[in-house]
Amino acid sequence: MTARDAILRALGGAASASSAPPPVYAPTPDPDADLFARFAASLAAAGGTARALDSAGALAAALRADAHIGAARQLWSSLREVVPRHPEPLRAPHDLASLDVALLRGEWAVAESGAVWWAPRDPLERAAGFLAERVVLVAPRAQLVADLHAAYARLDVGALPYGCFVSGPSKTADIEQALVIGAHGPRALEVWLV
Amino acid sequence: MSHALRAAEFLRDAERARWHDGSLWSLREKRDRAAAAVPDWESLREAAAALKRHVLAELPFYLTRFEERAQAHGAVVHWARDAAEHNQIVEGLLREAGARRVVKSKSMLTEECGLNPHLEARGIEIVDTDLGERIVQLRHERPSHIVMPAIHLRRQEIGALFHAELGTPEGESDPTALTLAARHDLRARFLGAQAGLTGVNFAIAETGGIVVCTNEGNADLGTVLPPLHIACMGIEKLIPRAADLPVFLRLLARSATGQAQTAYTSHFHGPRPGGALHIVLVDNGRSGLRARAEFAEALTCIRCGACMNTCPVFRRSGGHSYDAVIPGPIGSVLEPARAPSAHASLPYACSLCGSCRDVCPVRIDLPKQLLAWRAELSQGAPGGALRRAGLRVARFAFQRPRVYALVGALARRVARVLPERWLAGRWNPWTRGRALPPTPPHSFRALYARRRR
Repeated sequence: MTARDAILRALGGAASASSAPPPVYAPTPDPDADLFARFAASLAAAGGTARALDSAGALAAALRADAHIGAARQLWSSLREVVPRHPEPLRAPHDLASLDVALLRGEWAVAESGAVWWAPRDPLERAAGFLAERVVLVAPRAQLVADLHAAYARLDVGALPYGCFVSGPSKTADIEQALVIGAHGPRALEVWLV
Repeated sequence: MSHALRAAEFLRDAERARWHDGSLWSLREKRDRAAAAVPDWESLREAAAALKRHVLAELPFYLTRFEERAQAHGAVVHWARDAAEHNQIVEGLLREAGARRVVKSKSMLTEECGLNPHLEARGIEIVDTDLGERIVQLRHERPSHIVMPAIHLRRQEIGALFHAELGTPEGESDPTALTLAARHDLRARFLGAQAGLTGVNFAIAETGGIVVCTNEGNADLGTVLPPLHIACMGIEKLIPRAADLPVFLRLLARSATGQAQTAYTSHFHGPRPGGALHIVLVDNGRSGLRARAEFAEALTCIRCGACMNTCPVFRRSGGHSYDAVIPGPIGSVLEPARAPSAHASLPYACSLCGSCRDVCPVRIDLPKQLLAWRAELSQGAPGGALRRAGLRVARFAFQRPRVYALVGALARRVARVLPERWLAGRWNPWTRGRALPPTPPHSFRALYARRRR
């Protein structure tokens, strides 16, 4: 008997259908909240910073004015507005090990937890989001929702091999519970909602 | 050695014990604030409990559904009956890929299976990348807490360890400096790794995906640099749909550390382009536990650690006093199922105060289960000759009201005249760590009778 068959048998035998539908949770939405203020507060609690930008023009101006982006020797950009500055040609994610900044495009933003859904299209972009010292996630403000229930109702988690809710920079409190930002990945996270 | 004796060892360092207690209690307070900020907290707990119980009842269906969907995404699904089979599967996958340097993010399952020593004995280097787990790995000990693996250590001890292992300056004990030293060392190991291992927080049956929650981003670095990703999970980790995730995600980090969400909640659906994803489904006693009605509920645990942070015994005895892979209240239920005789004292590491049940995000009735274990484990070996003899005497007296009254009257007289150091002598285990109460002048029955008159 294979391990699979043995385990299924120990569990009462394989079943092709569930005898009852799974319970459904009906969330109670928080009405009239200022979603951006809530998002900014949640992200700040997680060690990141949020910024609201009114237009594509404001985004372009903010990108031009940002000192970290300007000073970055190596930069990954998933944005049309900014030209990447990384080693060429890129053969492996490892080539991005010295990234200063990664500019990434997020999709859904969640006010309750300060998280942004980010689904990179390829392993290089995915690596950039973790190897860079500083990450700027740009997401549409129209896709800011109240909570995770609303976000999961709208996104397709399995559309790409990898997708991630990002809430704050990499951090740890494993030494005497003292919070340290920058455990392995980015030491700073900014979310710009346009 | 029993839990009580190991706890006594921990308590010898009074300053550490005080710090440990306060440190975990502050986590409990953070959890309380986070929970209070969620208006539908209690209904979320109810929903999470109902979903997990549903999955447990329908486990064969959800397992095969998950397998089918995961395969459709290009993942390879393996099944392991026990720890040995799990370790062989992982070792085989690593050998096949020629991987000799492996990075691992947090996984209590691989700890349960003893994967690290298995691989190390066969010449494969396996590096724990969660900072707390790295610290205990370098110290050759096991995690003392499932969320905060190194919570039993003070910064000076970690400083001395890093001085010896990572070459940090002698006497350096600043958490930021130590974390940066570990970051530097581990970054090189991430870049040099040939395979990445992760645990699994949730597996979604409907989509065939797995979800891993970390604050450090170590699961993500460990799976985007090397081409091979092996994810190891217990068969109880399933949830029905992606739409059920928010119920658990909103509870998990708040219960664990008081955060609204972990920094990274990573979803993996199949391998990345050019890579491979293997998922190992492990039973290792879970099907047996599921078949036992009184204990099956323990399999709904989502490993947040809230029961440890609130437990008055855990806070004052330290995780290592449990001498178990999973310590604390939930460990005291799970571990006796794995090895009853080795962990027979764990169900007694509990005052039945019920605090763990009150904070559990999936509402596991831990005190009830601990009591059930006591009943079961004491059938064979009822805790020593002295205790047995004492209980026999008590039974004799309790069945005979006149004898009971006589013994009580005698005891009240004798206790008043005998010196305290006799009554609370070394022979009396009850007075270890407790003072004797003052002897009442009258029995309850006498007081009651007088009142009635």
